[in-house]
Amino acid sequence: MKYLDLVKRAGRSLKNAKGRTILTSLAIAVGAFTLTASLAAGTGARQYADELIRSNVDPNSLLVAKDKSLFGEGGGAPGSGMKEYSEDAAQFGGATFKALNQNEIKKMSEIDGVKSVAPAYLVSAQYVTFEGSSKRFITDITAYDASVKAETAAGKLPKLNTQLGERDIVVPQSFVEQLGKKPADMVGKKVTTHVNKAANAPSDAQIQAAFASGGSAAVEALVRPESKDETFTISAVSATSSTSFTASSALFISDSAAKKLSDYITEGTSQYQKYITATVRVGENSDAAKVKKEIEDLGITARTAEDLQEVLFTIVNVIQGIVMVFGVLALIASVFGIINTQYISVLERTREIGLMKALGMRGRHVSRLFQLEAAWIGFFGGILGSGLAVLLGTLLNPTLTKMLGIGDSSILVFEPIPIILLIIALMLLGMLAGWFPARKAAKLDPIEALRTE
Amino acid sequence: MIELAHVSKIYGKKQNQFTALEGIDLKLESGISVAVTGKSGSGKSTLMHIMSGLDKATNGTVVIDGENLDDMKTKTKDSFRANKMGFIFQSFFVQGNETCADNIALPLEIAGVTGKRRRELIDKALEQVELGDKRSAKAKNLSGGQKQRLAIARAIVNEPSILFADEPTGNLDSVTGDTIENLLFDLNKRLNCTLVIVTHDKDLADKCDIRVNMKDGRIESVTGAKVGKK
Repeated sequence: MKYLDLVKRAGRSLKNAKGRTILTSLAIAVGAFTLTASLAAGTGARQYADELIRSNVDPNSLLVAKDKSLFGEGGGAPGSGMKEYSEDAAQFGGATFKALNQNEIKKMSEIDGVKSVAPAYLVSAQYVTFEGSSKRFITDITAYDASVKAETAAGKLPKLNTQLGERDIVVPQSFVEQLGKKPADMVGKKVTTHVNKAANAPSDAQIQAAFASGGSAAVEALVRPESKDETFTISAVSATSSTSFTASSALFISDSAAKKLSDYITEGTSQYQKYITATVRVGENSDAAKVKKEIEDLGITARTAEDLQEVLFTIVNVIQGIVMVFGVLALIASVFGIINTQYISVLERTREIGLMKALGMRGRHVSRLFQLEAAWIGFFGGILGSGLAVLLGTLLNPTLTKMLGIGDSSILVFEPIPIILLIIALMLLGMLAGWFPARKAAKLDPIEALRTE
Repeated sequence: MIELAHVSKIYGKKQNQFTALEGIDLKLESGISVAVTGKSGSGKSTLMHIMSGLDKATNGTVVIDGENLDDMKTKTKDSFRANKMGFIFQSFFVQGNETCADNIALPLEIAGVTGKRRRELIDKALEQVELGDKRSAKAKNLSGGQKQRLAIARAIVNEPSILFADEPTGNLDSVTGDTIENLLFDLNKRLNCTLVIVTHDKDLADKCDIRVNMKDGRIESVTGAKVGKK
């Protein structure tokens, strides 16, 4: 017996029992809907996470830190519990971290394949003023990351992997909006940063000497923090992006300008030329994972873009997994639906099966016929559920995306191949479920089946 | 030619044994019409099942056209049945939801006949039972007589050498029954296929070349013009 004839015959049998077929398919459709939707949401979330990382981290760079707790390793949240004392400890935001020192920075830059090591300079300006505004603002100032492409609202950023000019500054669009200005109007304007040198506690002898030479005014001058103003020119206004964190949260100055300011601020303190984190740039042809291993041999923790991606993906996968479990449970329930329906179908069609066997149809083919019917049910259920999920998903996608505020990425991404695979899997599931009733049909005795009365 | 030698059929085991057939010796020439008669429980249906390979004899041999059914594997026996035999039942067993053509296609599908040849055979069979205009009609919309004609078309579509009919007129009124009888004998002559009819109906049996009268699982008598020599 030809396979195609069996497939057609199975399809016809189902057509003759439409109501039952549709109802059984609906059970599968529920599972298919859940699985398709969760697959789409997972893909969407992963794409968003991927974009998030790509617009913030360069795949050829590693984020390194001395303190494991920065990466959520080595026990608890940063700053909790006691910390082992270290000469290289640095304070940041009230928490103490082990920091990288110059020697370690040097060692890392000597690793084969490393192009550069850029420490993260902490520039905490006392305040910042903008040309044309009398207000003073508090904000972070960071070194410009030349390896990440940022969008601009006005002005021009240097080419990828080229640093800003020494006196250039990049301002986020949100800051400009806060000032009530248009991005284009701000390009070329001046920004002044007021930085304080760390107050050093003078010794008694110094105070006495100062008092002796200049009286109380000299002592005051000695104790008062030294400060200076640095003026930069706005070269570009970075656009607000849904995926780039850094581009919208700080002022950017060139690497060297940041280093100068950082050194100025920390000079004379324990934090001088100590860095909590640094970015290690790896050459185009070098393996970031290999460099990571060598850095870790130095006792420094390193994270590649891939590691970060993995962390985000793990979260997405866990959530997706939970939803998919519900889909699979729905499918398991529908399997019993198919088994039940097909058993009834076998009972109803005892005569038909008997006739087919009497006419010389092989038990194997009778069994296949019923399995194919179950496969058809799986197919219809899959098409129905997945189709509905795609339809609803496509309709709701703009609304959902807007609600979640993830900008131009979409949260539901339907890919044809997983959906096709899902439908094939459902057909196989149908065949599996149809196996028990099919076996019953195949074993039917034609003489018994055809006995009238 | 159908040859049965010392065929017996015993159902059940030990204390519950029931002998349905015992010591059947029968030789039927090809192309003749045979009526198997007898009361209910006389073993006539069992005899037909064994002759057609649907059931297996407990003892004895069944040889059809030189081939021993007992030696055959299930697979071979199935294809033997699909290619050499046609079946007609009292209750027609046509699929009401399917068209006449689809009903007739079943034996051809089983035998693996496809495409143009399949269509030709279907048309030919429909013409022979005078249902040529009902090709695409649903079987459930046919009358009783038409349904049995459709069943006959299904039985002859694969051009079998033996046609088994189990009470073919049992569910039909006498006028329609006569038409079906005439059709069966006509096909028996035209297609030159052996016709084996199991029936209660004496009138029908009398029209056959040979009458095998069964009683309590044994052959009581074999009468008729063309009784083969043993």
